[in-house]
This record gives sequence, structure tokens and C-alpha cells, in this order.
Amino acid sequence: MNSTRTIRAISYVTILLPAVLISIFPLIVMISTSFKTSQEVYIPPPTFLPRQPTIQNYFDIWTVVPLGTYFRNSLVIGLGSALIALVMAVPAAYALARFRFQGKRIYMLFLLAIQMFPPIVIVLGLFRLVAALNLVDSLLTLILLNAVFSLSFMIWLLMGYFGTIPPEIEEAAMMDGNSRLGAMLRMTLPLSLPGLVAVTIFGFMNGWNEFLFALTFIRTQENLPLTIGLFKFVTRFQVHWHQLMAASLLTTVVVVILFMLIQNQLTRGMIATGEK
Amino acid sequence: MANVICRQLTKLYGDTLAVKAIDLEVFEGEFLVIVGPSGCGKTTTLRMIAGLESISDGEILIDGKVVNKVEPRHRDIAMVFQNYALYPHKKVYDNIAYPLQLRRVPKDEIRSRVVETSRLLGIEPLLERRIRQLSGGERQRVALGRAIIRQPRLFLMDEPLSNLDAQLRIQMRREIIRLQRQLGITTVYVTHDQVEAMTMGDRIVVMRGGLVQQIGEPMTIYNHPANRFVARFIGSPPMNLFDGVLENRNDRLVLCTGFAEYALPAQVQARLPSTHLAGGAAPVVCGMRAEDMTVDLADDESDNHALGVVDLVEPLGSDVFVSVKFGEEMLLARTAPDLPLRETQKVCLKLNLAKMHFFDPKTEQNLLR
Ligand SMILES: Nc1ncnc2c1ncn2[C@@H]1O[C@H](COP(=O)(O)OP(=O)(O)OP(=O)(O)O)[C@@H](O)[C@H]1O
Ligand SMILES: [Mg+2]
Repeated sequence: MNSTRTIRAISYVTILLPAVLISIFPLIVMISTSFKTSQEVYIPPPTFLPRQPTIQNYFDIWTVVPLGTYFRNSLVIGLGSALIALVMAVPAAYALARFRFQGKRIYMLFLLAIQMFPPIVIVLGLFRLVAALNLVDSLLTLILLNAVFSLSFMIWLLMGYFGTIPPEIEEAAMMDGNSRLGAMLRMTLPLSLPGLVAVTIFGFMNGWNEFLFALTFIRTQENLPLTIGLFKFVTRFQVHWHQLMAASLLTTVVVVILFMLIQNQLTRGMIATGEK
Repeated sequence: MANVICRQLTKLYGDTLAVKAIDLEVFEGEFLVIVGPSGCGKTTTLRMIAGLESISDGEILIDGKVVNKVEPRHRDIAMVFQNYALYPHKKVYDNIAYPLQLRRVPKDEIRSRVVETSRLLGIEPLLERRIRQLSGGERQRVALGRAIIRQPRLFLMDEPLSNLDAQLRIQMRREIIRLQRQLGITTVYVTHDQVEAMTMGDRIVVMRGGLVQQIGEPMTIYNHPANRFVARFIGSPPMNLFDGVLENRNDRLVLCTGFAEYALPAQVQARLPSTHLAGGAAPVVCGMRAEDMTVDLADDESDNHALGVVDLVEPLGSDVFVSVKFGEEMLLARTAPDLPLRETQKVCLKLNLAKMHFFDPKTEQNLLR
């Protein structure tokens, strides 16, 4: 009993360890580079760990490029798109979880299908649309587009979450004196708070990480989000690796922390949806 | 207190008829039990009265007013759900207080009423607990507390005891009856358990397949079941049914069964429709309750006596159920525990013909008047 478990553990480790190492290697390089001086980055032979670790890069990056502006823009895009998507996802998911209506299956398949679409396929068409609406180079464009692209996954997750809350609780609340809407707002929503937080963070990360739309639709420096802004460390003559890596690390840390917060909720929500 | 009238109440789910044009009246202050097998439409009926389910056809009147389109919250009805449906994110206190909080009753009054209600139900020490820290029986009490605290004009309960163990169920059964008598609030109680129906109901509605089979007081239904289904459904053990033929011999009806012939007493004959006297021989389904038969050890085969073989003896302590086999037929009789009975033993079974039921084999309706 114990020995089979040991064998299994060993085989898991031998298979998974190389995969883990390969996938975190760039991350390690990023961390180590971000603590190097500019000379060390360019003087051969390359070092793995910084010889003279310094945190100077973490101060410089804010002045070399307008990193603060990028951070602010990414925050606005992430939060804005997450909240807009949430406001739309809650009623949609609720209806899917609670009501029977014509075309429900088609609608759900449709939601899944949009998930499969690579954004690059429609970016050209979107550009013409955005241009026609005179919305090029506006944060609002990114907020709306990211909201739309987070929406279907958020609906699926929330639908699973609402489904786990017994409808009788709402019905009891209605008998006790609530309207249907009141019962939903006072019972189902508070009870699904973990799910709501999870999908909001998911939407935020989606907006925060988005690259293609930002690249396509944003023109001016003060509207750039981090994903594009990081390229400002790549100048015509030189790549400022040490600073680029420091800024990248900060960008990533936000996402990693948020993801760790919601990891459990996401898997639980997906399992709940799958069980239906 | 309120009275409820359902007129031609109908519920369609897609194209399945869950409730088929039922007529029903709940009198003011009474405890009405709706009983029937699974899927017969009990819950659907209750939920239509509650306003949780739309009405496909017909109407519901509460205190003389049609409420078809009235929202649940404006019907002044409290409901106890099978799975209790307590609010898991609120404490016991706030679960019970919730209906009053929604009505903006002053805090002091809420507190005193919650305390009073919880005392009535014996859950005062639990008020600060969370719902998941309660046992099934305690949850049941909290659900009752939430229902009674605002003194609604109507209580609805959907199998509130089915998640409890047998002992607790009997105890809660008594408490619910005591509570209802004390408060005098009109109650509609749904169950599939005929024992609950018999013991709790002022009146019983027996349903089957979306239709009302019979409405009446428990003993009336027990003694005069409207049809074969009710006869089998109400009463434990179920009524014995066997085929027979009524023959007219010189204006006297004789019941011929597979195991014996019985001359019917005049008073039974008088309660049968006269059409059965006119024809030569009419097939009937006979019904006999276990307690209306006596098992006799003597094997003298005479009138009203049928000789059979003991198939199974089931002692319950207070009495004994004996299955007696007559060729094809098997009848279950109840006897006193002191009778020395063995399986395969020959016994004599006396039927109390005055207590016999006759059902039409085709319509399944009770033929007795
Ligand atoms: N939401 C629904 N959609 C479709 N059919 C339904 C729905 N709810 C109930 N039914 C059907 O209506 C009929 C009556 O159901 P109902 O729940 O009223 O039965 P019940 O008497 O309460 O049974 P049980 O004792 O099992 O609770 C059943 O045949 C059921 O399948
Ligand atoms: Mg039911």
C-alpha cells in the first residue's frame, strides 16, 4: 500500500519535474535578470545569478518610461472590463441556471463557440467597426472588447455556481416577503459571493493580460497598457533587459497573486458546471 | 386564518398534465392533508397555492379573492419546504426574524417575538448558531419558527418530516399538530405517507395522477374508500382485494369467491345498487381489511368460513399479521398475539361481511352506498 504510493509519487516527480523546470525557467531568468546591473546583462559570459544583486532597476523603471501611466491604464482596463462583464454575466447566468426557455441549448453552445474564436480572426473587422465609431485610441474600446471576450466564460462559471444554490432558498425568501428580484439579490448573490469574486478576478486578469487589441487600437503613449508599454524598454539600439525584466516581474506578480486567490473557486465552479 | 378554494385548478408542464382540473376547499382553521403516491401532483398543487408556480387553468381563491396573479409575498402565506430551505448565510436568530425584518417591524418587537417563538419550539438555546451547526430535527424547528413567527393566514408544508428519522418524525408530527391547534392557522400539509395523513389531518385529500380521488375525514375515508385505489392506499396493511361474483338466488345476493360462498346479510344487500339484483351474476372486486377477518383454529367449514393454509406469521407484539392462502388468493388477517399459529397449518377464516367493500371491476368505484 505504502510502497505503491511511494512508487507513484516518484514516477509523478520524474515526469513532472522536467516539465515544471522548463516552464518556470524563463520566470527564474526574469527574476534573476531584474536584479542585475546593466553591465552584467551584456558582459559575457552570461551569469545565471546576479553577481552584485541590486534593486536599482525597480526604481529606475518608473522614470525611464511612464510605467505608472501604463499601470493605471491596465488597471482601468482590467477593472472596467471585469465590472462591465460582471453586470452582464450575472443576469445571463442566473437565467440560464433557473429558467427554461426556448433556444437555451443553442444559446449555451453559442457561448462556448465564441470561446473558441481566436481574436486575431476578427481583429480586422473589429478595427473597421471601432474606426467607424471613432473609438480608436480610447481605453473605452479596450474595456468593452475585453468585457465581451471575458463574458462567455464568466457566464458559464456563474451558471454553475448559481446552479449549486437550491432554488427553494429563493422561494422561501419570496414567501417571506421578497420579490423575485429581491430574493435573488438578497439570497442567491450573497451566497454566490465566492463565485462572483472569482469571475471578476478572472475578467480582470483577462483585461490585464490582453495584448492584441491593445496593440491594434491604442496609438498614444498615455493610453498604453502594460502589455504594450513594456516594449518601451526595447529601444532602437538596445534592449534594456534588466529594466524590462523588473517591469515584467511587477506585471506578472499582480496576476500570479490574483490567480492564487481564485484558483480554488475557478476549479470548483468549473466542476459544478461540468456536473450539470 | 383563511379559507382556500381551488376551482378546476390545472397545471400543464409542456404537454404533461401534472394537475387535472381539481376542485378543493380548505376550511378556515382546519388541518388539511394532501396525500398520494409520488408524482401525483401534490407539490404542484401546493406550489400553485403558494404562488410559486403559475396556474395553467382554473382559479384559486383565498378568503374569497382570486389570487391567480398575486405574487407570493402578497398572499400572506408561510411555507415549510421539504429540505427546510433555511438561509445558510444567516444565524438561526436572523432566519426566524427574517420575515419580520422584511416587514420593518421594530427591533425590540422582533427580539421578543423571536424569543417567544423559539421557546415555543424549544430552540431558544440555538439562536446564535449557524445553520450548518444544526441537526435535521433542529433545522426543521427553525423552519417552523420562520413560518409561524409572522402569524400568516395560511401554512403550507411540503413533506416537512420526510428527512427525519422514524422516531423524530413521530415526535415532530405531534408537535406540528399541537402547534397548529394552538395557533389555529389554516394548514395544507402534503405527504406521501398515509399514516401521517390519517394521524394529522382534520380532513384528507387523496390524489392520484393529478386527480382528486376522495376528500373526507380520515375515518370516513378509511371506512368508505371511494374506489379501489383509495382502499389500497389508505390503511396499513393495505386492504385485501379479491375477485368475486354476486349471484342473485331468489332475491338474495350470494357472493361466490374462489374459496367460499357467502350469503350477504340483508343490510349489505340493501346498500348495493339494485342493478346487481336484476342481473344474473355480476363480477365484483371484494375488499376486506385485515382487522375485519378472524382466524379460527377449528376447521369446521360452514357458512362464512373458509379453510386455508397459513403462509406467513408476522408478529408485531401487540398483534399478529397472518397471511392465509386459499388456492390462488392470499389474504392478510390481523389476529390477537395469543393464537398459537404455525406456518403451513390449516386454519379457518371468518369474514365480517358487514365490513366488506365491493368495487366495480371496470370503473373501480365503490359500489356500496
Ligand atoms: N418543473 C417541472 N417540469 C416538468 N414536469 C414537472 C415539473 N415539476 C413536476 N413535474 C411533473 O408533474 C407531476 C407532479 O409532480 P409533483 O412534484 O407535484 O408530484 P408530487 O405528488 O409532489 O410527488 P412526490 O411525492 O414525489 O414529491 C410529475 O409527473 C412530475 O414529473
Ligand atoms: Mg412532492
